[in-house]
Order: sequence, then structure tokens, then C-alpha cells
Amino acid sequence: MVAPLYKDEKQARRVVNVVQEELHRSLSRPVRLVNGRISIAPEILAGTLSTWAMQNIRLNRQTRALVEYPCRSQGLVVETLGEYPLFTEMRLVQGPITDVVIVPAEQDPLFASGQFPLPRSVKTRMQLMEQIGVPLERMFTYIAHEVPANSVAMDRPLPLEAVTPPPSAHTLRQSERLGAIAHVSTISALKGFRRGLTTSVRGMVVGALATGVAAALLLDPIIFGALADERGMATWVVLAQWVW
Amino acid sequence: MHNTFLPEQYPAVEYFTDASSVVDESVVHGIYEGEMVIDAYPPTYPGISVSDFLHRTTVYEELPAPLAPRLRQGAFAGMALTLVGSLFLALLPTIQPLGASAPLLLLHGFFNAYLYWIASTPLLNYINGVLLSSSVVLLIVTRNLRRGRLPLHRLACVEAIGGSANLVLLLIPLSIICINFALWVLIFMVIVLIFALIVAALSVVL
Repeated sequence: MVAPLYKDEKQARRVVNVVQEELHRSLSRPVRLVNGRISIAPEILAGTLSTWAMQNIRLNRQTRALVEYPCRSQGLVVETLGEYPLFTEMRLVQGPITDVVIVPAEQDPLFASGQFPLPRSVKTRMQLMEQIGVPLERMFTYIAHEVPANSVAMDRPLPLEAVTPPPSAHTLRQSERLGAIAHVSTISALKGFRRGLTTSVRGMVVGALATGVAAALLLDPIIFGALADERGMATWVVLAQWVW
Repeated sequence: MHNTFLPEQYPAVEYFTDASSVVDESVVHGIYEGEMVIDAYPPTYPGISVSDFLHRTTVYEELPAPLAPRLRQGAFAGMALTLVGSLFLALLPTIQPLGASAPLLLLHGFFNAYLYWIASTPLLNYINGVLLSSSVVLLIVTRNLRRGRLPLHRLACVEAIGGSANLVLLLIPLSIICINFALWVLIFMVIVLIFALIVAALSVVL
């Protein structure tokens, strides 16, 4: 027969209460503010980091399942970058030749102008993503622009001129062809008028050259989708990338 | 809301952001200085979803582009020619009787028949009317033929072709008049030459 540890039930209850109170004390003060510094118990910190990492892994798996695999099944290649926090301000990364600006979509001046241009192929691709069930409505939009070095200041809003794309090469080619037809049908027949008209057109040529120079400087925009959880962490995915 | 670390004496401050958010929960709580707050509710991030973004974009290829210099030149010339052609058509009822009585040595019948055909064909007036009104619209929309979408570039080309058609319409009677004028000049020169020869001959004889 096993002898009882305590002689009476009352004594047992008292010891249990003491232990419970101690346990509760450690639970109620896992994180303390001591002299303006946050003090976190090691076991709590380890548990938090572990939970954090687990949540990142879960987020990554979720993104791959919801975004990457459906896209891959349709032959759409998307790149999952990893887990990074969301942000609300413009980020500027300065490089030797070009700078890269990353902004939430609503802060992009092109988007604010109401006419954010997407090449037809890119728009079709993203509409296809929507059709196959990629949860685009749950993903935050960020846009990266490669801009000429030192053309953007960190403390100022992103200027529209820095990110405005050049005119469509297809439209310009068509315009040139139509111009050849128009020129043959009128100006060639009216050579006498040419001298007067050439002067007015000269300004247009200068404008076209300036546009061409700008086109050479503007590089590739990238559209990111960020699938976030309640922590503000998100799995970042490159949804589209192109060169103007 | 139950939160061990949020002191209960502080009232929860709620605010709603105007911007649309992809996070369903739009309630956040104020953070007080010196106080560490761990909130059970997720933070909100102002931002738009990719879906909303996609629906507020335009197709790049359809954006306005500058008109090619030669197209601009041709369209201006075409508009001017259409205007001249329209004036010619408007003045034709006045010109036609003069043309009928004009002392033309060559193609007089063809000239009159041609003027009569133009005057009796209202389709030409309609076409020119459409060309002129569309050119006004084109000038306004493209801001003096500077930038426009691809259909407007095509319209500019149509204006140039319409102008060249007007040029052909004008060139036929003009060339008949020019040929006849040249003939009259030639006849006058011959007469003057004959007269000069006679005068020279008389001066030698006398």
C-alpha cells in the first residue's frame, strides 16, 4: 500500500494553489518593461521565434498552393521570393547605374493618374490568373520601377516623369507607315508647300527624339503580389515583369 | 477583446481608413507612449489588392502616342486641300457660267461636262463636309495633331488621302485651264513674232 504524500486534503490543496500561483505569475509577466527596455523570458522568446518561423512556413506553403501551383498548371511562371514584412512607404535602393523604387501600388504616380499602363500580354496574363482562381483580391500590390540614378529623392513623392513609359513602339511604327502614305499622297504632290511645313514639323522631330532618349532610360517595372497574414508578414510573389 | 497585455483602463480607440484594404479586419487600437501593446487584432495595411489594381489599369498599346512627323505634315496638307476643295465646290455655281463662256481652245466640252458633274453630285459635298468636321475633331482631340491613339493616327491618314482626292478634283479643271492658257500664250507669242517680222521686213524695205 502506498502511503499518502500529505496527511490531509487541505494541506494538498494549499500546495497545489501555491504552485498554480507561481505558474500564473510566470505566465502573466512573460514580457516586461524594465527601465524602458523590453525584457522577454528566454523560453517565451524561443517559443515566439519558433512560432514565427512556423507561421512563415505555413504562409509560404499557402502561397505556393494558392498562387504558384495553379499558375504553373496553366504554364504561367511566377517567382515566389519569400516572406518579408509589408510596408507602407516608398523604398529606394540606390545603385551605381540605376536606382530601384518600390512602392505600394496606390502610391505609384502612374496609378494615381488613373492610367496605369499594362502591356496587353501582361494584362491578359493577370486576367488569366484571376480566372483560374488565384486569390488576387487577397494580395497586396507593390510595384518596382527601375529609374535613372539619382532621379528620385527619398523625402519627396515619386515624380510621374521618372516612371512614365515611352510611347508604344507598335503605335509609332504604324504612325510611321501611315505617315509615309499621307506624305506620298499630299506632300509629294505639293512640294511647293514643303518648305513652310517643314519648319513647323521640326519641333515635333525634336520631341520624338526626346521621347526616344527617355525610352532608353526607362527600364523594367515589376508587379509584386504579397499574400499577407495577420502579423503583417507576406509571401512576396513576382506576378509580372516586362520591359517597355 | 481579451488581451493580457493591454491595460483595461485605456479605452480602445478605433479608426477606419478611407483606402480600401485587403485585410478584412479594419479595427486597430491606439498605442500609448511607453506602453507595450500586443493586440489580438491584426494590423491594417493601407493598400489595394492586385484584383482592384488590375481593374484600374489601361492597355499600354492603346495609350496616346505622338503622330509621326510625316503623318502630321500630310494630315495638315490634306486638311488644307479639303478646305480649298470645299471652297471650290461652294463657289462652283458662280464659276460654272464663267467656265461655259470661257474661250477654251482645247477640251472645252469636257471642261463644261466636268464642272456640271461636280456641281450635280452632292456626294462630294457630303464627303468634304465629313472630312472637314472630322478634321476639326481630330485637331481638338490630338491637340493640334500632337498625340493620339492609333485610330486617330489612321484618321489623320484618311484626312491626307481625302485632301489628295480634293487635289485631283481641283487639278483636272486647273490643268485644262493651264493648257489652254499656255496655248493662248503661244498663239499670242506667234502673233507677236509675226508682227515683229512684218515690222522688221517693212523697215528693211523702207
